[in-house]
Amino acid sequence: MYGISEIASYIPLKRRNNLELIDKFETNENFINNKLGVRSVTRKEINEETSDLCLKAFNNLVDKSDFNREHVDVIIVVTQNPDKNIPHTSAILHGKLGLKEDCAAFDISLGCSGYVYALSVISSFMEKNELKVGLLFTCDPYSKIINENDKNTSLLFGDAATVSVISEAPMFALGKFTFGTIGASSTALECNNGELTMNGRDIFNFAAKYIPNDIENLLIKNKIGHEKIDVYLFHQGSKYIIDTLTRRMNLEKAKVKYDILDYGNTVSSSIPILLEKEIESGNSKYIVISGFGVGLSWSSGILTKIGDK
Amino acid sequence: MSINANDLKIIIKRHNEQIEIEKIEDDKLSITDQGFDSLDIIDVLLCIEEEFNLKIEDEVASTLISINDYVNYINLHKE
Repeated sequence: MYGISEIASYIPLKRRNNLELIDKFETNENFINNKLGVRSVTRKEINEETSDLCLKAFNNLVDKSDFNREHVDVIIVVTQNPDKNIPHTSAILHGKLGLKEDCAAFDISLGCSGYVYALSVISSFMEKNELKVGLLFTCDPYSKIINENDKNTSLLFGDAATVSVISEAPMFALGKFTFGTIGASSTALECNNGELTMNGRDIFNFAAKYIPNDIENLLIKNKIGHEKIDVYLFHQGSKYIIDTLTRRMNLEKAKVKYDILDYGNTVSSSIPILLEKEIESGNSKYIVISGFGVGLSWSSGILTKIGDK
Repeated sequence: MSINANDLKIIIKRHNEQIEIEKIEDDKLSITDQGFDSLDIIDVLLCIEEEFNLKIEDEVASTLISINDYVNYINLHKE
């Protein structure tokens, strides 16, 4: 049974303080802290590439777990902001990591749903091909495409990278996943001529209307009830979205994580950043994860703790 | 049956009690001038769309300024 053995992340120390932009964007402290829920956003260094951020996440993995890179059979990078169009970032990263040559490497082009999707992809790929060790990276540095004068996106998105170790002897087993797409609304969050634009209302409505039903379908598919779930890790779109989902699903607030006040919405990295903390604490047996956004696309899954750190 | 501003405020409060609709004292003034931010407005629009089975396009939404504007729109378009 394949699943997640370990997670490490890299969250840049360089921050941009949103409270300093209150006048520029004609907003206020309450909106920044309690509605958007993002007081500062992370920014990578200008000359840092997506693969560099992944490399730093990997170095943190080695520091915390003595991970041995010699046995890696597959790496996946989830990104829509690659180092360059050609080649794929996972190939560049493969070189930087010095991995063996009989190692598969490919990118997955997805946004906020990407981590959950990719868990399903990498575990199926490994099982089918009898691979032992996989690394799943997420890194979508939106600072590459943000117009810093755009209130909708500049105050919200931060840069980060994560790496998850996928193995046959995991701490968290993967259940059945759900997926969905509303391609007709794909313009709600898009990049044209190198600049990101977002229709916040469309994204909010999508999350509020679709994710509660998707979670119900997920629980039915996995034959488990809400009472068993210890924690819900939703994509950290904004505090308002997390609060809205909590309210509309009538969830216990203590079971729903919100953690982006000091780094922002990190796209496909938001869920593994939270999950890393769950692995550290070791307190949760059943975890719901749900990613939603760019596409419009969503995917949800259930993780079950079956091992110890 | 038509609704009035008070009816709408009750519906919005029921939809999300965190929306401080009680802030809106003058039904003729802009709700943004009375403290509503973009997320409040997005949530109010969702509330109205779901409660009255309406679809309010962005172009129309941008013309709704006061609570009375919302009330008039609802009364004109609801089934």
